[in-house]
Amino acid sequence: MPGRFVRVWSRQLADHAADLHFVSSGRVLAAATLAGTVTVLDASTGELLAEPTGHPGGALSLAWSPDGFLLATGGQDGRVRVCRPGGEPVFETPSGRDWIEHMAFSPDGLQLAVGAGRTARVYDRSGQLLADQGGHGSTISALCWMGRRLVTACYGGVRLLEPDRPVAPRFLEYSGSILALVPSPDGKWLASGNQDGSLHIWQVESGAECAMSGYPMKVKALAFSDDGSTLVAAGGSEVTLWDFSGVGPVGRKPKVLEGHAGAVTAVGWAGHRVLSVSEDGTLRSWPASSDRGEVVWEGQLPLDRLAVAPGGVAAAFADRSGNMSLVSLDER
Amino acid sequence: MSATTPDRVPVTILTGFLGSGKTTLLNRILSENHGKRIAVIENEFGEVGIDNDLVVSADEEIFEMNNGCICCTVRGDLIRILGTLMRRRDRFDHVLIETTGLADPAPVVQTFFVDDELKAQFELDAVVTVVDARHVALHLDQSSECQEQIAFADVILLNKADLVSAPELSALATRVSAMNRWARCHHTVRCELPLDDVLGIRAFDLGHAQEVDPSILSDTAHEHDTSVSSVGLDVPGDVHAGRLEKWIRKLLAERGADIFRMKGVLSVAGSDRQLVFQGVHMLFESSEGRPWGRAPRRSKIVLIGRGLDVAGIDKGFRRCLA
Repeated sequence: MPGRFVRVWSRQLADHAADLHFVSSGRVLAAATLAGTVTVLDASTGELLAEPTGHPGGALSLAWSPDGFLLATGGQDGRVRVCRPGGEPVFETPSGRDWIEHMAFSPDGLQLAVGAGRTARVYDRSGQLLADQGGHGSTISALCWMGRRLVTACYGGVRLLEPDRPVAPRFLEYSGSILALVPSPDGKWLASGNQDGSLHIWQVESGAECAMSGYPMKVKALAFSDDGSTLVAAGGSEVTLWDFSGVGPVGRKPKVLEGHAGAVTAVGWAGHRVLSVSEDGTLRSWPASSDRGEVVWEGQLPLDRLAVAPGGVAAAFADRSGNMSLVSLDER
Repeated sequence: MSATTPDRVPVTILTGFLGSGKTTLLNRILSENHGKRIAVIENEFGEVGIDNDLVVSADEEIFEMNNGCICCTVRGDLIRILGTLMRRRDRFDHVLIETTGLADPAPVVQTFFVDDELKAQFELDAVVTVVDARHVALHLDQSSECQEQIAFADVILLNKADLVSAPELSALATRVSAMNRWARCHHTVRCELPLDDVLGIRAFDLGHAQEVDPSILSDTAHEHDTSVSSVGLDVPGDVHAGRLEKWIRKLLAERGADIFRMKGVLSVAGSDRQLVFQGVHMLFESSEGRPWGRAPRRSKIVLIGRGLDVAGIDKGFRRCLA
């Protein structure tokens, strides 16, 4: 695949970026910082477009609606704020004791799911509470949508619930601490990265499960490729690729990509390439057909946030101090 | 991992039963003019929080690690909260973790041994246990949590000392020190004591492990089988590295659940430096200490545990002599 990633701009955020996402058009991106600020930037120039009201104590999470008309943020103040991309407020919830660390819009954009302590709440676009799902045994540590189903993870397992249907949640038990959760694009698989240095995989309909253990560190970085054929995961300095085509990963060995000199902190897909950022301060790009990654960016401080623009044409990342950069695919 | 990162933030773990004066000590630390920015993670609703300090309320979430080690439990809430706080640019100078009255301190301590990120960013300073001198006798017999809080401590405050007679206080001090001989024990009223006695102890710093106290040597063989006690061994000469490692692994595999803490300074045959180590239940770490130079070579270990087989431990340790 032709083209190389080249740096377009860098800018200093108010503090460490706790969350970072492009809007679906790829033209705009937003960052939530531990200083409490929320920053909306022009992806092509890095110019500040808006600074919506933030979250005292620290902004921790953000989500764009798929149509790009709404930006939701949450933070240490326990509040959810939803605004327009220009910062005009749409609704906010009361503040609370539980940090808002995880949120996601449903694929149809009609529902916003939020993890608040041990409760998952679902709001519509005007802020009306559609579901208030308690019963989690510990703080919700990850959440995602699979079609109309909301999937939440906490210590002890994963819940699948349908907020707009009165059916009991389905529970997939897992005796461990889940740190990250990703569904395959076709909804067939669910993968979790865990504190104990393992991946856990569920075949959603059958409930069949398997574990891949042996990562030297906790597994927080994982992402499915757009076509669902490959899961990239890291828990240490190596990047592993698991083949999910056909019968799935059971019995297969992962492809291991070596090159980072420190723990990999985030991964993503840009088309057929894997992108990874690491404590070693580098962003690496790994072409699909090769074991050799190239260093796209090298900085002084550990990198730990990565967002890839839809279509894989650009990626934004930030270091520990909140210095953020954007690289874009130069096809010439 | 970078366990030697120079600017790791010290963490003090504050334990004690409800009503012991734990919150009084917390408030005293926060209100003292020490110029430090302190982050407090509290598990009981208290009314603390002063100026530029940060107070986070959290529910204790005990996670069992899925690695087959039965006593390896950690505090998931601490990994989550401290994992975020440590990324802030205006970092804190000190972290205080207040446990609930009935908490076993082990998961809190183990969290900082097990989680790589926290290990790289934070340094356990000490476990500080506040004891209500008037009411503790009752709990000492009946509550395993109370025994564990004393067994885990590096600093013990026998608080409300004015509410008991001098002989009662002295008897209590004797009893507490039989359970845990390495902790520094202070008699206090309303937790009044210099903060230097509570903060900056560096009890988990292997570089300070030379201070393992040989006076801990004692005869505890007569104590009741299930009680908490300390064992100290001090033997002149060298130990054999391979045999020692084998013995400690076996001891921890068999009795790790009952051994709360362990520290040692060893003279290993063939090495001109001290070997210092510490353990919490089954978790264990060691490193090279200072050179022996002209100092007489000897090996000292201290264990605190429940129902310790003193004679067996003594025999096992002596078999490791070179």
